Amino acid sequence: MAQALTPHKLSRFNLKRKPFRTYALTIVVSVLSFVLFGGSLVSISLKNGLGGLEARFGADLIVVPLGHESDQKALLLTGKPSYFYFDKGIADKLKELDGISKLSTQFYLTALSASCCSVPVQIIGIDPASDFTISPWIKESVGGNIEKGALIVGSDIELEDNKHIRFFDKDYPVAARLDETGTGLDQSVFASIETIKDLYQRARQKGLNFLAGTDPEGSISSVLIKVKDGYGIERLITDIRRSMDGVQIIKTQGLIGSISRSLGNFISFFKLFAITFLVITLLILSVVFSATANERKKEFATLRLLGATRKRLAAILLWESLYISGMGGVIGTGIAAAIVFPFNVYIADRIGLPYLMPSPIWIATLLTGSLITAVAVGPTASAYLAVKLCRPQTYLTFREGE
Amino acid sequence: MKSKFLSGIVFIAAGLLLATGPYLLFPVCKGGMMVMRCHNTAKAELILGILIIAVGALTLITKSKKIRLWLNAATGLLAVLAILFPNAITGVCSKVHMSCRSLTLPSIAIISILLVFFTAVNTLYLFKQGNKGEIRDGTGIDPT
Repeated sequence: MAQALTPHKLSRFNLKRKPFRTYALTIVVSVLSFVLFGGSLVSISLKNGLGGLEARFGADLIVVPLGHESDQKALLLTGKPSYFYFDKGIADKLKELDGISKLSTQFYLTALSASCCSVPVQIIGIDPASDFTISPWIKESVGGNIEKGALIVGSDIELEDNKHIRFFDKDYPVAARLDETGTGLDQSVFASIETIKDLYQRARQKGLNFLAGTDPEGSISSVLIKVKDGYGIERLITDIRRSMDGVQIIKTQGLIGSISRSLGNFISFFKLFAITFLVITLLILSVVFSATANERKKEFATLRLLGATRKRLAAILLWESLYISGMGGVIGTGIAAAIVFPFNVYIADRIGLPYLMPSPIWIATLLTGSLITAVAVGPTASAYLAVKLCRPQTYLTFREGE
Repeated sequence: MKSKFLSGIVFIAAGLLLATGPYLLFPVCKGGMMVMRCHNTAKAELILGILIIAVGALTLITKSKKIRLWLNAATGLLAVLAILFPNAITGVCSKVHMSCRSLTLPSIAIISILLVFFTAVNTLYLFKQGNKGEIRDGTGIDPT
């Protein structure tokens, strides 16, 4: 049975007849949708990571031993394990200063998790009584009590049985798991000072000596400080510098500010890149469509003679461009999804900044936005031509070039 | 004929990636004091990759469509095994940020899934082609 030649059927035949042009234009739109979806997903993940870092930093200042500022920053941002110590007396001296609202100490240790591999895990000893930075982020309680030898694990730490983690041939119960932040703290394990002492002893028995002359009784790795409302942070920094030597002070707002600036540059660059790409894609499609339309004048004139209305001719062109941009959009976003989702941890590690993937609703919104933009590019590029092509007299067009 | 060369080359390329990738392109974790799971996975992928390369070479030299159909199915099964080894059989390290987990595992998964998809489409194609060349008593006619 004969079938009617609708504009969309005709456009499909046209695309099949010119496979090189079809594939080339589809690739151009694919690259655009890849850049739009992949780039915006990475940008938003970085923004979320910064948000997580800001929210997670309950402390205004972190005091560390002199020369270990970069180690502390790497630990917080990328989870690179390290340990460094200074005398516990420094925390007592700091307590005497004015302008401190909250103060808590931490002790760092690194250990190999028996369930995994030969890469150490960062263990952070906290004082549950004074801690104000870790406890608010407990996502789910698994069981046990941190005061009684249990551990709190970051969101990236995987447990064999969801209840225990093995260090130095001993299974430690896990009390809770922290919410995901996209920072290095997701890869850390937190313990009370009492548990840290036990871990430290076991490490020593295994022949691991961290730093000579240090132990959890008399040493600490960092002091976290929350400044009193109304008391200037800079003023407190000056007070600390005047009262003691051998320490380095990290201003968390300064740390966040520097990340925010580099992230701002990245996002501005991405926006510029995406807009440039969008314009280039529109230009390429417009040029190609107009070039092919010129050589297809007779084809359209013939269709007109066969009784096709001007609207139908415009519809053929629009359907062709819609097919190209639709295919390109789906392929580009598909490839972006196949790279960004499975490799998100690798991408985060390579960038070296806090990275937190957006929620599924956000991902769906981004996907829809990228697809709509990519799909709209083709018809936008051919719309003017579709109107223009219908203008000339059919007879004159048909006789052109004779 | 085109399908024969295409599938042969795709199998050899995928086999090469699976065999050498875990050591060169998307390496597993560096060796330390401990023998890690991912090292066993890399060895398994090396063997599977070599087998896929061998099947690819056989595909290139085989004329019979029926044998190519079986070679194709075998590659599909090897690709499924390539997915299963890092995910269920030998496994990879449990730390999310380890190289084997963040890079090797997704790379192997993507290559293997694409290979499974390719072999599925190719098997269907070869099966249809085989049916086209079959006469009533079930004797196959090889149009090549």
